[in-house]
Amino acid sequence: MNESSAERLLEAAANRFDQAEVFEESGEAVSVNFEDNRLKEITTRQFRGVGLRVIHQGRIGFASTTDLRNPAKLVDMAAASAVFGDKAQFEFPSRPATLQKVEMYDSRVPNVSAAQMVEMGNEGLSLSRRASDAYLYGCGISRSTQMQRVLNTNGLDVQRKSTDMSASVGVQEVRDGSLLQVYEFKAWAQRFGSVLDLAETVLDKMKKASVVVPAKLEAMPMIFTPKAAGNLGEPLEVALDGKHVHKGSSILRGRIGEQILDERITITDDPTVPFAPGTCPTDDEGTPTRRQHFFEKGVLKAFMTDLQTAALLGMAPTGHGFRGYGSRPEPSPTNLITEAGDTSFDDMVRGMRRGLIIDQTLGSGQSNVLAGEFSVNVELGFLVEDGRIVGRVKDCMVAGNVYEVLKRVEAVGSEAQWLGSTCVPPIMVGGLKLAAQG
Amino acid sequence: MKDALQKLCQSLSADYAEVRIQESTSTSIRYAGKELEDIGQRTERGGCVRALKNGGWGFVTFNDLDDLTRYARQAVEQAELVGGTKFSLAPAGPFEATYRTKVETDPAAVSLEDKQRMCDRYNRVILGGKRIQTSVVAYRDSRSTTYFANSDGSYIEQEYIFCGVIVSAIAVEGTNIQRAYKSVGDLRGFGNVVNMDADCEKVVQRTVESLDAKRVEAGTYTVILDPMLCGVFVHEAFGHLSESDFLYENPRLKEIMQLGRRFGPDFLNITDDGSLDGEAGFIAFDNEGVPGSCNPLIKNGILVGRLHNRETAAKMGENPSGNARAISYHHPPIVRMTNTFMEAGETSFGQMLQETDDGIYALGMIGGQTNMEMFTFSPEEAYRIRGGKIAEKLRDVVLTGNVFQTLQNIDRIGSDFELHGGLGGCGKGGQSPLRVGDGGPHCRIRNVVVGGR
Repeated sequence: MNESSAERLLEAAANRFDQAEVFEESGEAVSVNFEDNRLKEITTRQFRGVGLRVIHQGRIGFASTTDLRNPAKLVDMAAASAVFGDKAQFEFPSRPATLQKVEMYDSRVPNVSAAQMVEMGNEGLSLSRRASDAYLYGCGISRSTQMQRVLNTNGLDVQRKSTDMSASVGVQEVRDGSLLQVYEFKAWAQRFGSVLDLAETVLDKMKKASVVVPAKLEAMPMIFTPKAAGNLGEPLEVALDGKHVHKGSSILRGRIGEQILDERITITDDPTVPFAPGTCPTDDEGTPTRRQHFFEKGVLKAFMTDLQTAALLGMAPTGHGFRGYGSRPEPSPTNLITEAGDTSFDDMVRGMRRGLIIDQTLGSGQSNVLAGEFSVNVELGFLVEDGRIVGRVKDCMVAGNVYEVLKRVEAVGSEAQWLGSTCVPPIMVGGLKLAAQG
Repeated sequence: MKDALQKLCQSLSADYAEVRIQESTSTSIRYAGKELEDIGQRTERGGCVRALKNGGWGFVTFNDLDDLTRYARQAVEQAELVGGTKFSLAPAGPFEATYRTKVETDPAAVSLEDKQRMCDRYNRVILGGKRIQTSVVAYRDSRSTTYFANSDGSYIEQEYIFCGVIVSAIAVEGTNIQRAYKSVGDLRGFGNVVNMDADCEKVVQRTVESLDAKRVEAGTYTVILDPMLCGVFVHEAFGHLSESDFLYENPRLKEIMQLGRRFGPDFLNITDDGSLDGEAGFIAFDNEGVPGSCNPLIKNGILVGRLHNRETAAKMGENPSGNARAISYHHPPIVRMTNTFMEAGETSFGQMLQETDDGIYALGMIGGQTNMEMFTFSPEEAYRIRGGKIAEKLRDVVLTGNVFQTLQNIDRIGSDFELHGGLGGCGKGGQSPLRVGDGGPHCRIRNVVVGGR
């Protein structure tokens, strides 16, 4: 969609409705994909689409399309929607006085060629082959650019362009009828030139996991690595969603100012971190974003809202209205950062008499997330005895409630790691039960 | 359309090429509590080209159909860059075919107002429930037409009409938050979603009962699964391992997965069947132009078949099974399930229960996940079984198992059978949700590990 057609669509909508907003999105991603020790596929994804949201006679309407041949049809669809839509509790915002400058575009990223990404993937493959010819290596590397623009009949017109480069490396070994797979991933708005960092970590963990030790039913301290910490973070994210707060289905409703988590847990939403994947100057409704605490030393500070949700809650919008072209805005975080603590990972492990390091899980998000529950299979877990990793445990489960677990924090790691748009340190907690046969 | 797409495929200097153009219109309605958060239509139009050359694949997807030829050439260039060892796909067709979902009531013929009224009615039933805090009632229908051509000379037009609804209740008492739901969704048309008032009441009841349920204790249990959860179990515990893209270039896994190997007791039969018209996982043709078909996977406990695309079939010397599926034009086809189920056995549920002195009865599903060896699956509802009778209600039950052990631990298979679709679906390789059907009878499994306190 070129500039004039977005504006033409807004103009057509302005003639028909009291207020209108056009959200357009486009992008291109090129990916190379290795599986089973060889390069299999190169993919290019080009997309563009547009969402039209309107307020007419006090009601909200919405429609979207990727087919831009007939804007009049989109306007009709939005009109049909607005007949039934919810009452608008907000107005589309006007142009913000100033917009913060944030770093989210690296002009080198669009120039990364497929051949260069193939080369990076091959370097990882060589490393894996040198480690063991029984290993099966997989790797996906992707670079993308995207554009989001939101314009409305109240004079707002903001556009942002961003880049992204991401990679994942996974290695699998089948041995004695048992299967081991380890993966690592990274994403950043800036160009990177290698996946060897991921491959080295994966291969190191493959080695540590090569001995399987028996698991039994027992309570013990556990370390959630940054990769496994999503099990703890996901229920919090759901409860911070202003929509759940408004409906009364958030466990955190009415608890701002209350000590919810251990005082060593500070979780901040920060859209300003240079080149982090969730960095942006405004959300997808044009509300300026800003750095804010969700939990400061364990005390609940704020929820996430879009315009409608903020109005329903009687709060100022927080700049968390994000969406794709085909959806209405929903509250979601930008970059979610859990502050690092002061215990190194090695010290954490050394301090364990008997405990578990959880690195990969299966079944995340398939428990009662609203209540903070998690119950997951430990896909990759290491048993620690007298401060040393003695091997891998498998065929076992760990379950708990985030709000109980994050009150029993024994240590917060000093090495926080970015994984997509979250940054989190290892976290050691007490009193969880490992369930296993025997 | 036909001539242009066929000509394009022929014009490319590739060993194989296919093009898909998709046009779709969908209607969604979503109540969350009292708010009607979403109502209206969305349209999509886009395409993709996939090319195979010298053993490498290139795939390009786009919304800008004016540039089709340029994107097609780009797919070939990408395939060339991948390179490798030249191979031929397993033969299929060529087919010339048109498929259109036939339904009694086409959702497109029902007004938006009538759909909204229906959802409003369900929502009121739920919100009217005692101790209910809030609700979600979501409706979706879609009509999607795909035009497919490949360099083998196939040309296939398929139109699918999907329609489904999910009704969900949430009850809150302090920090105790419980939820239950019911979801239907398949290719049977609007008639499938109109009579759910009683289901809404049952959802309310299940939600409220869960408030007083006890947290499950961690341990190893004998578990009876209801037909819906049995479907999820079969899907996670075995279905994904049948997908040959995990196998065909994995020599050690291939050794384990040799046809003829015993996986379960001799009364265990598992099948994937894409040819069941009307079911959520029905396909007339897959996205490589292979007809959807019935594929027995386990017969009398023995591995007898698996799911293929045309590459895995060729490289394993087996027949294509019609399981190369993509969720939309935005993705290449990968090996997927269709309708996957355990076949009915001989034991009545009553007898199974009576013979269980101590265990858990688990019903419905929240979800499941597998890594090909270990898997989890979570019921929506669970009860303790004591002395052959259903006892107190439990909550937060999630079960885990090992593909190579758990199937062997099935000791009773029920004589009943259900196959379920739903508004959700299966996820794999970044493609979610894919409409699938999962089903089975009641079944009993020994030594299942359950996470807990």
